[in-house]
Amino acid sequence: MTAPALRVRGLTVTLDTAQGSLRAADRVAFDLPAGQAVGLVGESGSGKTTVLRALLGLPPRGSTVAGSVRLGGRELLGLPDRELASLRGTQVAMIFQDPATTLNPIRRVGSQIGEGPRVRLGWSRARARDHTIGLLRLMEVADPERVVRSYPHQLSGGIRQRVMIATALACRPAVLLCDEPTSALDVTTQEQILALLRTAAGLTGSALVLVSHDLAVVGRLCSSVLVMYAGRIVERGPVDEVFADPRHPYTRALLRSRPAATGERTRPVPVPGEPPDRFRPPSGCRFRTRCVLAEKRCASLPYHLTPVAPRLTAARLDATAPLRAAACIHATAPLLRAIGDTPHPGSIGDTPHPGSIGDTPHPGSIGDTPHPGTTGDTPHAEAVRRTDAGGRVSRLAGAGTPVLEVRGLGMEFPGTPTGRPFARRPRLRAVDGVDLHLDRAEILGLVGESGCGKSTMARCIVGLHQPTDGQVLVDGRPMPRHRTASERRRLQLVFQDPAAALNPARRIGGMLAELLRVHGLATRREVRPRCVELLRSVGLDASFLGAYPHALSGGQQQRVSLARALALEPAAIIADEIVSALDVSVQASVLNLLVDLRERLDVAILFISHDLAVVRQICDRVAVMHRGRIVEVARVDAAFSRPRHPHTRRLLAAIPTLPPARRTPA
Amino acid sequence: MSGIDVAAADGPVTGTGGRRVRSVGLLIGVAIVGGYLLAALLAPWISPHGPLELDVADALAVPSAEHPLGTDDLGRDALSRLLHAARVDLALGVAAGVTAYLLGTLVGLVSGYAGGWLDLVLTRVMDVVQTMPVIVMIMILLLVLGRGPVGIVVALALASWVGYARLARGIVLAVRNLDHIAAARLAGLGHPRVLLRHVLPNVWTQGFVFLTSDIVLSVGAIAALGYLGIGIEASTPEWGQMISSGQAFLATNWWLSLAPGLAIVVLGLGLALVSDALTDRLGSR
Repeated sequence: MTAPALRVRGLTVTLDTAQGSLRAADRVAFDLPAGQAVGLVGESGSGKTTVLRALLGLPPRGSTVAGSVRLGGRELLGLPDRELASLRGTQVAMIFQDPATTLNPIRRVGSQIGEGPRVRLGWSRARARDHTIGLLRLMEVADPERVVRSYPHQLSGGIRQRVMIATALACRPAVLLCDEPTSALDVTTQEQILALLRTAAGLTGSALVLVSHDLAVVGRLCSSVLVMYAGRIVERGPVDEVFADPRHPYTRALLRSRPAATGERTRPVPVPGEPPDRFRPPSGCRFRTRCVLAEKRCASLPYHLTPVAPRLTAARLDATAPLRAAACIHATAPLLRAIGDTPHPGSIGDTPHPGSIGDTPHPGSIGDTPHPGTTGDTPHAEAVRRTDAGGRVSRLAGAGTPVLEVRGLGMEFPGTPTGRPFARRPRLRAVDGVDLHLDRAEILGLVGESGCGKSTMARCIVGLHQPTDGQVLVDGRPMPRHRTASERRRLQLVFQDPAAALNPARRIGGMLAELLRVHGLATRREVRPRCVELLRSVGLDASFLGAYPHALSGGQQQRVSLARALALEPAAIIADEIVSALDVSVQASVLNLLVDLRERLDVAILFISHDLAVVRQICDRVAVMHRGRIVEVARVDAAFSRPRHPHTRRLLAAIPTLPPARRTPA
Repeated sequence: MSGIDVAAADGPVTGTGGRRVRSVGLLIGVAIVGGYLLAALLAPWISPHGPLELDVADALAVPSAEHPLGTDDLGRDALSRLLHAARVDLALGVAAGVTAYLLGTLVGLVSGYAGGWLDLVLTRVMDVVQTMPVIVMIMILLLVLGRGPVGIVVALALASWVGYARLARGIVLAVRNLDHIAAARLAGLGHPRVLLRHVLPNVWTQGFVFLTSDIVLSVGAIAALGYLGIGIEASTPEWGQMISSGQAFLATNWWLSLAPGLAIVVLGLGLALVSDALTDRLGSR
């Protein structure tokens, strides 16, 4: 047995900020054997990236790092900057999330990849160039001779990420750190990149540390996994065992919050509550404030990873497999399996007051049906799910005119200049004759790769772009070229980035009240109660009226965006990738909210997403878009079980999944 | 994973933690600026003498209990003139700065939001104004407008609004493409409302921060005009004129020029500290 490529012990990163000091990473310890891959998962703010940066010797500004990081037997912490710098690139290299911002836009790709070997290893220009082309071949880049002469902006996102990987691998580092390497990419590209990372790391013998919020990505690439919560590792072990039989309630909750791409369509269960205040984390187990199994003693127990007895399978006989451990009093007990099927009490995800949606009656209920039960996985939700799968759609099919209809919608952009005088690229037809309809209380999924025209179409529908041709009809009435205020409010767009979608300078209550007043949707005395009611309907309470958007978490901001759309009493809501900027644990609660809103308010939703697992979860029908055209429209079950168009099949094949065998405990 | 998640379990975060180091700066800045304002307000009551009181027999006196900063060549008490000058300089400086701020922000707002030919015309106007040498332009404007307080304020504002306009226009260009502006338009709100209620709240703060540090430049410009002898009427107490008239006696009564000079410098320091603190407060939204 050789020494591990990376050995981390007691890694603690303390950050001093204006608001006080916080431990972004607390006693993190793990071994990474050479050639192996370990995944680091957790919510935003759990300390994943902090750990990664500390490994590279680049902790955040104003932080102090304690503990030990040994790279091939050499202690990295405390090394002078010069020596650390000489290790970066040659011994440790990093792949970042967004290749668009990590490649230098004004340098040719070839010189960026070859820079490491030329500067660090003293290679000649010609040798570095041959090496670069070899690396790009390895990355399965077509025509590498052309690519090395290109600038980053001339390449697609997938090629750029391949270039990024080639750059990181150029000096054959012993350890490759990957920070969400595929999160900015399409499913199909993500699939290819993951496969490439695996083969490339195998060929160069590099060990991998992969930070990802996507459990399935970790499952694909890694042999072992570390689950982080509030700066601490709460569970570690081989990927298949941890995913099949999680021993920490947080791991369990994370796994359950992820919509399944295969198998039965069940409502994902959000992790209840909000992440703890990082400056004042709870004493004892930091997860106890959100834990269904929390007991009194959890508040006082010191942080300790309890070893979990290995399952005696063939795989366990492999001596290099990491040992399982979990930081929970129940780690060794079979209790966790038992709670797998019990509902979480009032699990409404990132709402500040769990259970309020169900428990408090709605004053002057918004919808025509009062909303019973909680939004968690309750018997009520069970019933809803069954109607989802059949009853509702058939009941509504042909029930009058669709609330939104799109006929022959087309959108062309003028060609951009090429740089040569008077020469322009050909006109770009982003949306090409789209026909769609959306029925009352229906959720229609719209999927496709980035750049296929989804967002352009959304903007045409709501009137932010003037379509080149085609018609948009609301309740059977065609929308004119220039819409009046009352026509505009009938279609509401909810945006991907919740922070950009809310005016930072305005309080939430004032923003909502303005809309109600301008459109005369409430009399002066009704405005405030109506605002409270709107916030309630998205799972927030009246304390949010006076808040500025920056004080809210991403999930809360997205809820406020939904409340704004609802305030205008629209015929349909167009939701453009509204959960892709959110954590998995929060995603589930926002998705459940969408389904609830449809149930209670009969609102129709056009749900645009690149994530097919999510679409499958909440949509009735799905439309697949490819190069500006709709290539397939079908009921969700049909589209996923019997896809007709080859493009649909390609998209489906690319979804990373946790194999079903791993999802259920053996 | 970026930034610090400030979400708490029980609702939005309202308070802000201590920013001790910054707060010290703010405290000193506010103390300085407050001191100037008090001095200006109370000048008639705290001055030992009238600012125009002549006592030729006691001209160019050295500092004493009777005249803490001595007297000038006409025997006027220098401290009294210094305090009264604070009224004139601050009032004119703030008026000129605020006028420039309002004018520039309005022009920048419209220019950035409207775009198209209107933007083109307005930015060309800004270019032309900016190419002219400031002092020369102010001198010409003063010739046209007359040397009174109104003339000075308008001349200074017309010479300095372009900075505010460019600042506002730049922010508007960035803000107007954000989703929340699209959302406001989609909500059926009209252009004037979107401009004033949704764009402006994101724009005015930066100009305001700029204004606090810019006021001292206006004061400096007024003093420069006074020094050149083309500012406010000669007998009115004004720091620039005091520096200018004290110049002849630098060898013997150097404090006559130094005191008003220091008054301008310290005011600039105080305003800069307030401006820094404002950047932090207003920028955090």
